[in-house]
Amino acid sequence: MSKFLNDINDDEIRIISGDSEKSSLPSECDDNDALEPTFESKNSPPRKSSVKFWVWVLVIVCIVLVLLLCLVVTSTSYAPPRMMHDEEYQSFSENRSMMATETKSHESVPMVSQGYVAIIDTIAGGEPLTVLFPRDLTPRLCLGEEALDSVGAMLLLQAADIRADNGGIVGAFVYDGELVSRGQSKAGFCAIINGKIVLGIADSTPYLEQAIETGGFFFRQYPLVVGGQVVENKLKSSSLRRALAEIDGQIAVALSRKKMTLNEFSQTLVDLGVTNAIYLVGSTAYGYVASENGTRMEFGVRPANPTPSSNYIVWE
Amino acid sequence: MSKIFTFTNSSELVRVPSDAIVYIAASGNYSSIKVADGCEYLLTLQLGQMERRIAEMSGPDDKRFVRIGKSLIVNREYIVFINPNRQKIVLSDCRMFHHELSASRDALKALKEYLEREENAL
Repeated sequence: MSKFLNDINDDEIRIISGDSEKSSLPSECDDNDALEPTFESKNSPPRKSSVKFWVWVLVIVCIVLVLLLCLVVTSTSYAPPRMMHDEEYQSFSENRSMMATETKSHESVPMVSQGYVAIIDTIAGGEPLTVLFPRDLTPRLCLGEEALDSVGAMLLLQAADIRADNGGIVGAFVYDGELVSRGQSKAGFCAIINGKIVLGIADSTPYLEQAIETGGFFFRQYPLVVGGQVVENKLKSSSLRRALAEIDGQIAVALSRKKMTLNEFSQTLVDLGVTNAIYLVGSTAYGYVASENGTRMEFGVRPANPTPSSNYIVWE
Repeated sequence: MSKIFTFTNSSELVRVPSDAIVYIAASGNYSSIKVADGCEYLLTLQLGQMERRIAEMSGPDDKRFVRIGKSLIVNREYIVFINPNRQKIVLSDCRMFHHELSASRDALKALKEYLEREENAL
């Protein structure tokens, strides 16, 4: 009987061995046919995989029926937006193939919302990363408690650092056209002007004025990658890292899956094919991404008492 | 000489003598191969795919690899200690390396019973 790739429970073992007849097995159903039977402890309860299998079949059939129903409904009323998603997905697939990395995509298009976040697990330079591509979403900065309770936010990450001494925002910060904080302690910047993100490195940049004039947003952070080259940083400690990055002309968020120094992280971003990137607050800083089923996958620790300086970059 | 196991995807290739593989651990969509020299190779392959690949490359009588639950494949030749109650399994060549791993109590109990049965059958 054919078994499925991960058809094993945590309380079971399976002896793996070759099978002389394996070459005759059909490829689409031979995932574990060449494997030995699964063993359980004598005292373990009887296995229920066959029941679980049929339950899964039933669930999958139900999901397919619901999806078909949704497709019928959307094809009559929302055909143009769906086409746009498909084209973008195609474009993304082409770009992704240009990266010298192997990826696993969890990309999905929610049926209700126009925008979504494509979540890609990948390895670059031997290091595991998760890359988040916002699709059809508009970025902006948020301040204080408002950000955490934003209903339409699909992706949220802390943007600028907070000063330990007085709780203020580190570096220049423009919120909705208003200069909330001044200073240039970090050379990297992110400007959001008319819903478009610009990343760069400069001590003074016209994008700051432009963000103020157009009611946009601006913040400063450590530069990581400029023009496909690593920007050296002095921070030597290792931590979970995050970055706002430009890959093949697309803005993405990269999350390290293990603790790295800033230089290691920058090099990994270059290996990923990133052309420009600035740092986003990592470690235990709070953030989340809305998954395909609408639930939020959180990272870091949600602040119990957000201060007025708590700031986030949000895609809605 | 030990057979070379090759694990490959579109961007990476790992070639390891089968007897040099100590264990393979799953981490989401990734699997990491721990080798006897202490190196670790991370691949974008799920553990089920690694298991299938091992089955394809193993001979019919080669039963050295054991899948333990959803997240571990071990080389049974390096199993030196199993304690189901402590959920502990130790893999070592008793010379160069020593790895303490954790697995479910029932899985380790099943593995212990399987190894005992095999010993008795000899």
